[in-house]
Amino acid sequence: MTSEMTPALATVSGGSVDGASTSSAVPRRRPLIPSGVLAMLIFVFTEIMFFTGLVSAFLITRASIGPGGWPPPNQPRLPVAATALNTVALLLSAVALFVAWRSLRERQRGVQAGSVSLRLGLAIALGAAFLIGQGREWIALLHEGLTLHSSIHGSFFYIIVGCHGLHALSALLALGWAFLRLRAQSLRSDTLAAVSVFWFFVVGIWPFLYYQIYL
Amino acid sequence: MSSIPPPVALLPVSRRRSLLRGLAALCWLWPSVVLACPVCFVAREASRLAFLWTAILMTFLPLCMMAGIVYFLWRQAQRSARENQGDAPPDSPKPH
Repeated sequence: MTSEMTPALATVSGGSVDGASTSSAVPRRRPLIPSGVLAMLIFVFTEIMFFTGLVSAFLITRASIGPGGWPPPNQPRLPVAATALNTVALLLSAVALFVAWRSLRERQRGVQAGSVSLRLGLAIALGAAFLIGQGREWIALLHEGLTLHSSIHGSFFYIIVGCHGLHALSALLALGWAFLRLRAQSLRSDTLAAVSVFWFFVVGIWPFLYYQIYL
Repeated sequence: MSSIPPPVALLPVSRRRSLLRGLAALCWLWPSVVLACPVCFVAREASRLAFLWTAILMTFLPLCMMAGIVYFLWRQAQRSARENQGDAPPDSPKPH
C-alpha cells in the first residue's frame, strides 16, 4: 500500500504529514491493518468456507457408509507416512516464512536482521518440496488405480486434495513473485505480510485435511 | 345420483378434530424413523450426527471469522490510541 492511498480502516494520530510536530498540523491517518492484508484475509475467509463445504460433504458421505466401509476395500490405500513427511515440510515452510517476514520488517525499521532472501528462499523450497511430494504421490495413486472416477473415495480425494494443491501452487507463485521483488529491493513488509497470510492459510488448513482424508 | 361420502365424513365433527390432532401428533413424533430430508439417503446415527455437526460448523464459522477480525481491529485501534496518547506532546490537538 502506498502512502498516497487512503486506507479504509484507519486511526487518526497526532503529528503532521511531514513528521514535524506542530499544533495546527492535519492529523495523520494510520491504517489499523494494511489494506493488502485485510483484502487477503477476506479472500481467505471465503476460501475457508469453500473447503468447509467440501469437507462437510466428505464427512456426511463417509458417515453414511457403514463401519469398515471407508475407504472402500477394493481401492488403494493413501500413503499416510509419505504425506506426513510432506506435511512436516509444509509446516517448516510456514516457520521460515514467518521468520523472513519478521526479518524484513525489522530491517525496514532500521534494526539489524538476518538474511531475508535466504529465509524466504527456504520457505519457497520447502513449499515446493511439499508440492513435488504430493505430485509424486498422485502419480503413484493413479498407477495403482485410484482415479477421479474409480470411486467416491477417489473423487473426494482428488477434489479436496487437488483444490488444496492448486491453492498451494498459487501461493507458491505469489511467494516467488515476492522473492523477485525482494531481489529487486522493492518488497515492502506489508506486501510480504499479505502473501504470507495466503501461505499461512494453505499451511494451516492442511493438517485438518490430512487428518480427515488420510487418517 | 348421490356421491359416496368419504369415510371421514361419516365421523362427527368432534371425532374429526380428534383424528386431525392424532395425525398431527404422529407427524410430530415419528420423524425419528422417517427420512424427512431429501439428502438423508441413509438413516444412520452417524449420518445424522454428521449432518448436525457440519450444519453447526457452517453456520457459526463465518460468524466466528467475522467476529475475529472485528475483535482484532478493535484491539489494534485500542493499541494505536494508547500509543498516540503516549507519543502526543501536551499541546498537540486531541485525535478526532
